[in-house]
Amino acid sequence: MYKKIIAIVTVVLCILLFGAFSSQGKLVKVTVSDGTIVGRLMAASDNRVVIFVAGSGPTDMNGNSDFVQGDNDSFLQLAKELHKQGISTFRYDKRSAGLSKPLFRVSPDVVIADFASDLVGVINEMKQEGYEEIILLGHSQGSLVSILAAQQTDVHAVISVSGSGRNIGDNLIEQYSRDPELHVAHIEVIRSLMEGDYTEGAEETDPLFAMEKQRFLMDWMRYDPAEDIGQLDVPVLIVQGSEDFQTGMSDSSKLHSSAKNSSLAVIQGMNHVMKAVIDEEENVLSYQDPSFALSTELVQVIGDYLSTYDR
Amino acid sequence: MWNSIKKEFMEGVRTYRFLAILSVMLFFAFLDPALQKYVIPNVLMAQFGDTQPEIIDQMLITTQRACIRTYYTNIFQVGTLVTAFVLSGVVAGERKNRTMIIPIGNGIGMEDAVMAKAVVNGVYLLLVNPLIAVVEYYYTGALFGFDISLLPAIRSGCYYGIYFTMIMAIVLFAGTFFRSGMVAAMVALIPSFGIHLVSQLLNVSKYTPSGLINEAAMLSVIARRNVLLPMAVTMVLILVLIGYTIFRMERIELASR
Repeated sequence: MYKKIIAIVTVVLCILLFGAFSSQGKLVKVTVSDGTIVGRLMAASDNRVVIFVAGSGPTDMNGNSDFVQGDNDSFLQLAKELHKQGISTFRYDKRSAGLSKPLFRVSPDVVIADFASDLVGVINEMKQEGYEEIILLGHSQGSLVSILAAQQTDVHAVISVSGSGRNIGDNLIEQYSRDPELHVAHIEVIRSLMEGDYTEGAEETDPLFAMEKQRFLMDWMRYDPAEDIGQLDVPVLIVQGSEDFQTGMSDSSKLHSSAKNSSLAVIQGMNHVMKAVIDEEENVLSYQDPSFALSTELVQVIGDYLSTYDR
Repeated sequence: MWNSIKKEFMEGVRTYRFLAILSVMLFFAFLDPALQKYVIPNVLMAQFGDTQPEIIDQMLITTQRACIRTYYTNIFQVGTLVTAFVLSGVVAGERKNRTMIIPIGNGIGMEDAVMAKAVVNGVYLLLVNPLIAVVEYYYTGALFGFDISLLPAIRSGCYYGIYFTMIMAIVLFAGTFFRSGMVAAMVALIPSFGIHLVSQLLNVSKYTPSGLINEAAMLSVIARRNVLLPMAVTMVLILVLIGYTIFRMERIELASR
């Protein structure tokens, strides 16, 4: 009899666990030109899907980066919240992160266009899955990647969250200039890259400036997000948090004024990783702490936009 | 079977075992936040005065999130001690007092007797920890303001419930070696704390029950996959320890001194 009780308790626990974790989405593999992208499809019962496109660095499908100690789970939380509103989402590990990383050949010559190409592959996969309406949600660098992919294939809308409206060089110099004494070497390297010159030995200042990363940054600096967003004919929602210290109102305004058909939503109290924060300390902590909740207004804004935008 | 469970439940009530665990954990659930809110700031002010206010600010706990995390850090140690010592009488104590002979003499199998102990005490720990987590959540919220939601707090309580059930299983197993409850409890503390210590030192918490403690302190908005492996390992450990406890008890002469 006790064996039955233990079996029942174990089965119930397993069902609860399976229920809790399987609801994080079905694993989908997408073969692209030089590797395989791994992502999770959290399907709701409609024919539209929002594809999350992560920001810079080795950022995984949940919005977490190997560069940051600790997780913030921003994409995971957003996917769950949108699912509650009946919206399907697909989020994936970038080629440099998580489950996708070992499925790509190691190349020091990755450029922004590769990320856009991966995204086009993901979009095609979602169309094959039967989704008729594709919406891209690009976060930070993912905003630029979404814009570039939307230039290459048909999508129905683009949502840019915390995206830079300027050349990334200008953006980085502004970020580093907040503490110029600490970042004098960083600023020099960025300025050199903007002028087309590499800096030998710069990785000693910061691993960010290893030679292959300098090459990547220089390629990234070729893009002007405001100019690129102006080439899109699809509706665009630009979302900016008031507590974002990586991009600001100047970025979102520039994107908004350049886009042909855009809406701008400024969310009070939201930071760069889409979390609701009340002060600078929380702002910093929320990058690496999964207990911080997503801005509820962000979920509301995205949900409202998806039900009202011009199809 | 139900008679064994009922007997074990009555035993837990009669010996104040359940009350002891509940009251000690509740005591700390109330004491810890109160210390953080009222006592520690005054102690720090008395120590450093207003010469280094920015350092004092950094040392103070001012949010519900930080307060619950501190509580969970403390309750790991206190809860392990309380679980080990309070439950030390369940097998070791009954062997010493020879009270286990009574149900066995009445025709109840050793497997039934041990399983009843494991099920009743395990279920109690699985229920009481989330309950205390709820109390802690509202209490800290009242003191510091609410900045996390209830569900992560309950989930953390559940993780602790599973962890303390493993401590219970270790204590039951230790009871098969020692008749003295005190000795059994102290011996049980070695692996109980040892697992956590070694896991932290070797940075292997994600593969051991210690991962449950880490995940409990995360208070993550959404359950993280990282918890699956430590949870599975803990559940297997619980089952193996209970199995070995039955195995050993079936081979022990209860009447001998």
